[in-house]
Amino acid sequence: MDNNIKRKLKSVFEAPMPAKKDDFLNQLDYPKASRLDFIKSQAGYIRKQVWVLSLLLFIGTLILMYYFEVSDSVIWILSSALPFISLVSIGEIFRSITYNMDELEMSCKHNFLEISLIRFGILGLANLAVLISLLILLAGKTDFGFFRLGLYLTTPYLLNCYGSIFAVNRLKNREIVYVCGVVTASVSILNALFTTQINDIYTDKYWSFWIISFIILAVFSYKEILKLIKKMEELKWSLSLTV
Amino acid sequence: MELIIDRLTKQYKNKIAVDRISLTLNKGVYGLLGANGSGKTTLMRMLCGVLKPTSGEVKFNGIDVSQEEYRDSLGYLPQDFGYYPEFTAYEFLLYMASLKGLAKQSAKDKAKELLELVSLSDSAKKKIKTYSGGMKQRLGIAQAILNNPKILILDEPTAGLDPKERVRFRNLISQLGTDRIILLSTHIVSDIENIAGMILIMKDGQIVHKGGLDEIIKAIDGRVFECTVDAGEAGKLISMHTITNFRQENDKTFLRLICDKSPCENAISVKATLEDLYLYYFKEVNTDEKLF
Repeated sequence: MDNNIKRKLKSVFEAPMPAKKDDFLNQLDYPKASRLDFIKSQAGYIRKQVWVLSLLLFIGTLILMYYFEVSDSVIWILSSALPFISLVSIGEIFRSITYNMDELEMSCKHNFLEISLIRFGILGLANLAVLISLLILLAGKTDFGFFRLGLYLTTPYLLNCYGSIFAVNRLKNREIVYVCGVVTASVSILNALFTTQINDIYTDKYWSFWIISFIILAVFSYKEILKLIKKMEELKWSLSLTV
Repeated sequence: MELIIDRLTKQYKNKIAVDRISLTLNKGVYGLLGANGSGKTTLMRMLCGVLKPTSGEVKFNGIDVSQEEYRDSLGYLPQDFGYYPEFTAYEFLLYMASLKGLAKQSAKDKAKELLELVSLSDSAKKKIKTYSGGMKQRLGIAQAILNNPKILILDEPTAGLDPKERVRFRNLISQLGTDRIILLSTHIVSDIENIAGMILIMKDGQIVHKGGLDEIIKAIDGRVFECTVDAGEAGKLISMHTITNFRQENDKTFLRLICDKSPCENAISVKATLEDLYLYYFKEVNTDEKLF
């Protein structure tokens, strides 16, 4: 319509007040975010300390490599530090329970299980990226090779994952993250003691020990993760919330 | 718009918290009244999909409680909720909006609008840990209505609110109740009396009474009396009947009580209130509490 006519119409005709405007607006669906938007938003809610710790480990490795020759010491130091990355990740996943947000999150469209799985996925990928970066940095500097070095670094990490999720699956309290902290510290100290006390731990003599440990821990961790997902699906957390 | 609850049951080992409840809720405000441990919170958690029922089902317009579509229509304020310590009120609402599936821009608009509605705009950028109990409760109410829910479930929503905030909250709920289903539980009988169109009284996991205010208090109509008696007579009446009010007046005692016939000569029959009914239904609970 011509602007001039519009103006004239406005001047001669007073438009009535909108009737039931709010009712009409209430009927409209609000614009919804896509699943990808939701995943991106969740990545933004992961605390900075998780990324900072991963970055510190990576920078620490670079410094170690710059000042020292890559030896068994570098490997035990890194393999003892890696469980702490998994601790921060586990703490992040169970933040809802620690801060009593789980009940609210369970009632939302994207519920607690979905949020936890997305956090699992994002943090798992981040941990994997850190691990692969470390392996790429170190593999060329040692005689071990990529696969063998991966085994030495990931076995204590897997032991920590298994121990922490084992505890999470069996304990029902909001301070579970402190229990995981104790598990992580124990794994780290044990790994340091074990690898420094046995001089030839990284030799062919113990090769089968590393492979068997890795396979057993991988299978056990996988089983515990499945248990954890089932537990979340069954909403058993609620039992601990109910008075 | 219909929320159907069909033989809903929750059993914990040898205790039945909710016992085969069947209800159909339509648009309007429903007030759930019951003593501690009567099963109100358990019922509400099952209606929100937070707790898995032992048996029975909950459906909204044919959609089961376990489905994402159901949760998309739901707003929930739990009795006790936490928050991430680093969040401000505005960030908290944005986070909840993302979980409720709102797009970024509409989440920002809605968060600002609701902070205004619950009078928290001035404190929107403050950390929640600095908030008072009433402010946290208002923030909880705001997050519950972020997604313009068709079902709104509020567990003790007026706890921690001062009288002025409670009146504002009642008005807001009455306004919202015109085009959605609202179920709220509270211990504050006057809140239910003022807001709820339908009252549900819950005891031992079952709905023992339901109806409008006038309809529901009919159960004790003509059985509420007020009298002023001396100490000896008062002691006798207190031991025999449900006392809903007690006041010392000089050397006499004023009593409001529920009994089948006039308790004494000077007693006058008065109009029953919801509080009388509540105290009548939960007299055993009160007696039990006295034991401790």
